[in-house]
Amino acid sequence: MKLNKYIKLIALISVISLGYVLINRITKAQSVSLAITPPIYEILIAPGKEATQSYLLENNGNDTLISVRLVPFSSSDSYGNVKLDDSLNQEQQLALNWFSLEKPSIDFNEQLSLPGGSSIEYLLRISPYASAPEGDYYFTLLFETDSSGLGAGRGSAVETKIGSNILLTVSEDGNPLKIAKIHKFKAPKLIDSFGSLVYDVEITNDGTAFFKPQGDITVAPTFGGIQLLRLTPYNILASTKRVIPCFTDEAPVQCRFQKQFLFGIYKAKLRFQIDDIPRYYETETQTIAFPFVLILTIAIFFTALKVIQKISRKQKISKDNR
Amino acid sequence: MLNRARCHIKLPIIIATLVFVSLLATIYILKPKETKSANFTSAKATLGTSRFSYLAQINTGTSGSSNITIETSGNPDKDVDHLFPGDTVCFTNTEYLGCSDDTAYTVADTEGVDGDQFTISSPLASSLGSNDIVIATASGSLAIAVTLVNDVPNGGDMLITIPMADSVDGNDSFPDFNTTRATSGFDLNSIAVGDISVATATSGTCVNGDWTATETITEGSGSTDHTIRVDRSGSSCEADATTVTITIDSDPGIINPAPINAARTQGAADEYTINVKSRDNTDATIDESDVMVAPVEAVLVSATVEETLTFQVCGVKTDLSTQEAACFSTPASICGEAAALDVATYAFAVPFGAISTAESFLDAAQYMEISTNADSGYAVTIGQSDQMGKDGVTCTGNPTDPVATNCIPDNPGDANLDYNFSDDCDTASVNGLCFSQDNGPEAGAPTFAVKYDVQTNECDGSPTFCARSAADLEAPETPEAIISATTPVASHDAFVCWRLSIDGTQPAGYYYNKVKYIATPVF
Repeated sequence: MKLNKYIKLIALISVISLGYVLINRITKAQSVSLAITPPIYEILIAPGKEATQSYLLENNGNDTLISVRLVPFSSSDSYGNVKLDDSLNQEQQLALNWFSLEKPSIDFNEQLSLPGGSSIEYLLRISPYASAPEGDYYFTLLFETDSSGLGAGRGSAVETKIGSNILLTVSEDGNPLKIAKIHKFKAPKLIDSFGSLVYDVEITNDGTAFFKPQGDITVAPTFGGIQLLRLTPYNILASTKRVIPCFTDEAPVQCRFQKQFLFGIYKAKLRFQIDDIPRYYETETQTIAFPFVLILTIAIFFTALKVIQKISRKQKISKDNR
Repeated sequence: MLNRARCHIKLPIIIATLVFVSLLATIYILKPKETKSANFTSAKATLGTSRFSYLAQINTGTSGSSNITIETSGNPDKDVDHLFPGDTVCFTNTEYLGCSDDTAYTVADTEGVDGDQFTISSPLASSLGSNDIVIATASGSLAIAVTLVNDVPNGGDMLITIPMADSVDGNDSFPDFNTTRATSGFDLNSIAVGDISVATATSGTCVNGDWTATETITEGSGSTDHTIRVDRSGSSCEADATTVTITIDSDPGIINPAPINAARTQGAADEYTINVKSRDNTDATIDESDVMVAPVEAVLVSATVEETLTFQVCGVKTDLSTQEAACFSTPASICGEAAALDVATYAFAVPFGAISTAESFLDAAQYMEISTNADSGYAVTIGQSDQMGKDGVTCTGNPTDPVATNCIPDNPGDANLDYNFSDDCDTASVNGLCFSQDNGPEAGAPTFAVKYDVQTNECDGSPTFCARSAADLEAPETPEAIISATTPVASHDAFVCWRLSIDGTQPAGYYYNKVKYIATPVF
């Protein structure tokens, strides 16, 4: 009898505890705020060699469960945006085995608790096998919050993820094949003097490894000084193309000739090299600038003036005749 | 008799006195009073930049390469300690005939303390010779201010003598040096009359405009120093607490010397003496002082700032305020909803709750903020695990029949609303889930894929809820960027506005899915 009472009491406490736990897993006011350093890691490594990279993940929100995994990515557009793709091809599947977490001592996809206001260092080891095929491998190290235990009610549960891109080049001799092609170097052939002279640059990577273009556009006008527009050294992934803006003051900007009034012929030469490889890629274009609008305005003005003069002369003659 | 005698005595005395006075007057007139010479009450010289110019000999520098190595002995600079990232350098030969390839380069990095290498931000157009030199000029203004003790007469002048290095071209726009401070000096850098100005502050009378505007600039000969003479013409300058400031402006500015080419301690200034004097119309010195300027190596204060990407998601209460403390300040409206939202959200959930009214919109919002100092910027994408299925049932593809599939499908809007195509989501009888976006309270301006009131794709001219759906990962669709930037950003923020309406025939049950926000840097 007494035993029964105890069992009932324990059962009651268990139910209350379980209920308490479940109720507390329903979403409360919790913000998610994650910061990852560094957001990009570029590495060239020989097969059979090893490298480690430290990542600092900060949780500036509330306590949360965090897991990390590697997801292959490809270029989603010509602007450097990534397209994450969980479906792995054979090479990517193989490459995933080269990565491991040295710190903390957990596996990929394994969760750990990260208290709010704290940070954690992840030490990623990259060690391509000695037989690893040469080439580029692009992954995003994706840190994910877990909302699976938080009831969304009828609606959508929200997961927040923050990624850091890894651009990995595996090369035996440290000189992977890097070939560029100028896909586009465009400027208007004819432009009004009050227009803006903008150059569009798009570069294709026909090699097997990502690179950064290093170079500039030299614009030589008929009148005035030469202007040098420096290309932004953005990464161009293997077998992709990318729109390359210019940059000033460390910020990417449109490649634009800086002058209010344009007149004459503007010869522009695009010249760049890949990283530090002393081979130059060049092409030229030219633009003729003329004050069409101004001339047209003046022409219209004088035509209108003449017409008015003519009309008033006619009126005067007809008045005189009367 | 007596009076006559007195008269006889007086006359020679008077004549003698007159002769004496005349003599004195003649002497006085013929030999003017010598000018009284003194030090100025105060005198000072201020260099616009106190940094030494940099001058070192090249060891190696190959065409196409950005790495330069310098010689570590026998030149003013024997390391790259006082060459800094951002400095403009010119490679030239010992003839100083302009920069190699007519190109100036920017220093990208140096090899730290006592290093002998530096990198430039663009590769060398041609190889450098081993006798070539690298130069980073430190040029700037020079202001000399003196307070007069004595008047400067009309026709007088102020004369400044600036040390020039011996046996060099002291006006070739390249920094000069020598083996001692006494024989080293400044390069005039082709300064012209228009680069010099005079200012006068006085308690007496000293018309500033009477300092001649066409100063006389004389380059040193190699054994004499540079001089700048400012003439006084029209009136004298009264020395009544009068301070005269003569300034050489910073464009192009005079070029500081490189360190002396001898054993010296880095960080210890080399002191150079500039002489300044006021003179009368015979060039006799009236007041004079020596003032010191002391170029020294600059100090690089450096710190490494790591690149970081920060991403925050917060819930929004129905009164538009933040669900979590200190996330965002309450805006006047969110996606056009000024009064209230129907559903409160959290960072982890958009709980539409029990829906009892069909064919009616439920509005909710979430807030996100992103910052990064990465050069290429960032993108936040949105995707959903699947469309909302009853008890998590799989909604294969893009379901349209809510009854047959037990799914709340994505809202098709006016016809073509999709995860990568905007359309109006403003008719409550058109059912399903859609989202739009609005500016956050921060000043940053991210690039939006869609905004509730901005016409994109097939939205109306002045839309009230131009929207998209989240990419359906089950379909599969690729998550699309909803906000992005191509530059480093301090605080880009946005509201994601969720809108749901259900069909009257939607089977009762518990519908849910999982929305995923992914923040990644642009590579």
